[in-house]
Amino acid sequence: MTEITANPAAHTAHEEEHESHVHTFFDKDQYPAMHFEDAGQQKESAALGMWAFLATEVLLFAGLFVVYAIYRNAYHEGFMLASHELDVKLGTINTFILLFSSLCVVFAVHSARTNNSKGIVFWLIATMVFGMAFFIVKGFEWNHDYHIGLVPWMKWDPAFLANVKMGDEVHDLNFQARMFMILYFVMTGTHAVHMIVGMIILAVLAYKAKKGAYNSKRYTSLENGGLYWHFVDIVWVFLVPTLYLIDLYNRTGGGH
Amino acid sequence: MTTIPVNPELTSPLPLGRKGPSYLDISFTVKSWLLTLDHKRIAILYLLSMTALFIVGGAFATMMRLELTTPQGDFVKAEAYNKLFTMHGVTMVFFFLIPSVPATLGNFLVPLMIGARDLAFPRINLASWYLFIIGAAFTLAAMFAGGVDTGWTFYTPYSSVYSNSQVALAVVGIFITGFSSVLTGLNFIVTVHKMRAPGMTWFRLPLFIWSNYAAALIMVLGTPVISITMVLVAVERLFGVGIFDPANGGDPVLFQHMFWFYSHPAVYIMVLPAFGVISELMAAFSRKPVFGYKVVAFASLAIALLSFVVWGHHLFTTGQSVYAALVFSVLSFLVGIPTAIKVFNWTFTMYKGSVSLETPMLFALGFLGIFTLGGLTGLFLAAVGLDIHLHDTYFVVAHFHYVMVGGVVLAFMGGLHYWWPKITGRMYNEFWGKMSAILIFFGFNLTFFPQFILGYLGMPRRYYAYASEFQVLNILSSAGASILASGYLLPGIYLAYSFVKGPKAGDNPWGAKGLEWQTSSPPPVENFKKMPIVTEDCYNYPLVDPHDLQPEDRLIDSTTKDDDKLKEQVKDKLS
Repeated sequence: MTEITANPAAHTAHEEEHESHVHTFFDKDQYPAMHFEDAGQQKESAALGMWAFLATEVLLFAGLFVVYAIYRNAYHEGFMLASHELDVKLGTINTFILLFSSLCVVFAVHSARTNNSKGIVFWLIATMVFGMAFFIVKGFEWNHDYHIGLVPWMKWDPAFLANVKMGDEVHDLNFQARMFMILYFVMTGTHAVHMIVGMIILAVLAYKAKKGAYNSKRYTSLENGGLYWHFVDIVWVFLVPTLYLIDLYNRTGGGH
Repeated sequence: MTTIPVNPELTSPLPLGRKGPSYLDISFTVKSWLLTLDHKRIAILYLLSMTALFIVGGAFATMMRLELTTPQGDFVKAEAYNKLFTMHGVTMVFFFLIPSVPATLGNFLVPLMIGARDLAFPRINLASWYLFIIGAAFTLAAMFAGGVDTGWTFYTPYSSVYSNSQVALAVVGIFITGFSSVLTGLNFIVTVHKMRAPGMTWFRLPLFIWSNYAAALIMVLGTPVISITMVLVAVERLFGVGIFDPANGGDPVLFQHMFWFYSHPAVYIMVLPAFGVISELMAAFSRKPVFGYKVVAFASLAIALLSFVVWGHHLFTTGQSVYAALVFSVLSFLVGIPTAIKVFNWTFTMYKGSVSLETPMLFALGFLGIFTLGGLTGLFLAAVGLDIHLHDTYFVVAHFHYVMVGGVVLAFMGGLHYWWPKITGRMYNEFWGKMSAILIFFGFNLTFFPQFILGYLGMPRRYYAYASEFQVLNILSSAGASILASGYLLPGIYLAYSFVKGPKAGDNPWGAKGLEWQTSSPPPVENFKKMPIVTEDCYNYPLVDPHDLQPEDRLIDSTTKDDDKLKEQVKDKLS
């Protein structure tokens, strides 16, 4: 811990107070950190840790996908009906927005590799702008869902459910469509929470990049933050077909 | 059978130790503890917080056993009893049994055993302790706000719709603690992969590392699933929309599938690290390498793998298809194979070894007996036909207490006593240690063995009153519980005394192998003065009379497996 103090006496007192040892071993700015042998070991550890963490995130969403798969298998008709009400256009726009944001993160990491420190900040901010755009679109979409009565616990009166005729019989598919919408909100909501976390990570990275924390020799945390953002993107890529695109060709309404 | 004398004068610094302040003496401020990044201090924080939660969980158990001494509900009424067994289960499972061995002993020992200076991510390690504390705070808040009455399994739709208790707070607490578990698991996996000292190959890793590594894999792969399941229960409860509520088209059995997909592997998160402790103890106190080292290591991984495909045996009575039940039954039997391999190999390790009955070894032997009985009764429950009869009876209660409590707590106690001199640098009173081990063993068996019979005779679990013909066995069980409780309290007293006034233990009081014994006790902050280089397999114990063992003998280069040659080497050294 090298601390620049105007008063050298104060500095010594400070050192004595803390028994210097704790300070040196877990020095905040030391690179590689003291408990690693070299920078390579630290980089590899961070990468392995991040990939393993992403595996846990995949499993978290996997739980939701399993629930979805089981109910979709059981409640096929209701799921189709409810899915028709989702706006494919907005879903598609959001997909492209996220894919572009992922590309921006790649450019940010590339800028670090080429020692272009201004580029890192620029591309990170670009990523965050795309992230915000995603939230704005999603906000419009959720608002629309609310107005047409697709939110089960707040306002539930979807027009399409009046007397669903299947063959000669009239069925109540209300609970099936409800289940779809519950899962839709839980899944996109969980995804949105991960997006918010991702935005916070990006903001921290941008702040640190502005202070010159990253260069071609040191950009592991930037790379890991980028990986997390890619993960958020990939989850969305799986959510779109699962929620929006089922039974795409039989859609009568939707998209209004 | 001989006893290794504990030599309080054995303080000669070993080559990898360090003169200077230890991790305990480096600083005494509260801040230096609460903001520490040192894995050893974080282990102590876990130890203290988990002991407190163990006492809370134990208090609930005490009240339950008090209620069950008479057939009528004269101490507490049904509702209060439901809350007692739920809070007992939640506290013990999620806040003691699952994290106990990995978060305390594992945190302390994983870096020391593989020759690393710390875990790979010290800040994440500290964060995981704080998550644990926050999660525990939520659950304690649920307790003070009126408790939870769903049972620790939170079966829907009772938990999500009908229960008038603090389910939401409790599941949020478990959700947060889940993150703590995931982070600890991640830290262990990365540390074992990337931080091993030169020469510490995979097959030189102590078995404690292997089993913690396997448990970390389960933590990382299983915990996210229960996290999302708990989120779904919370959503259902807070918004009144049913994902698992049959009134809304939900499927309660789906909840059980998702719950047990994690919670069955969770049993192995508990016992695998405990197995690791037992392997270390068996080797150290038999002065022999663990019999079939590689097989024991791979058995850990096999258990981790199998643990994920047996959850359906909790659902034999839910109306899952008979074919699913048969498949899950067969798969459940398969877990018996790697587990039995371990038990047999520990037994073989003792065969012709110089077994010495120090306190940790007494705990290990107690574990062997209790865990074996727990495992064997597991076979009863894995058989579909028998399980239909025994399902939700006291037989099940006895079985999982034998496995989880008998397995984890005895191994944890054994490990704590074995590494206590390393953790604190001081030795505890051997007489009281042995007394505690004996009290716990007899108290445990007296408490839970009658429950096997009760369950077989048909007494259901989770009832606050029962038919009067069950009273004798219940009184035996409650009497056993009081013996067990005194066995648990004893170490609290003599270990605390030892920490303050115990004799200095020396760096390696057991004459044990393993890198953790090669540094000073208590270890310095960096663990090792210089990077250790590993040149021999672990557990390379020379087969000599432990009475002849001097500190310098452990430095013999014993790469040969020929015992006679080793004996000669030792004799040369001694003469």
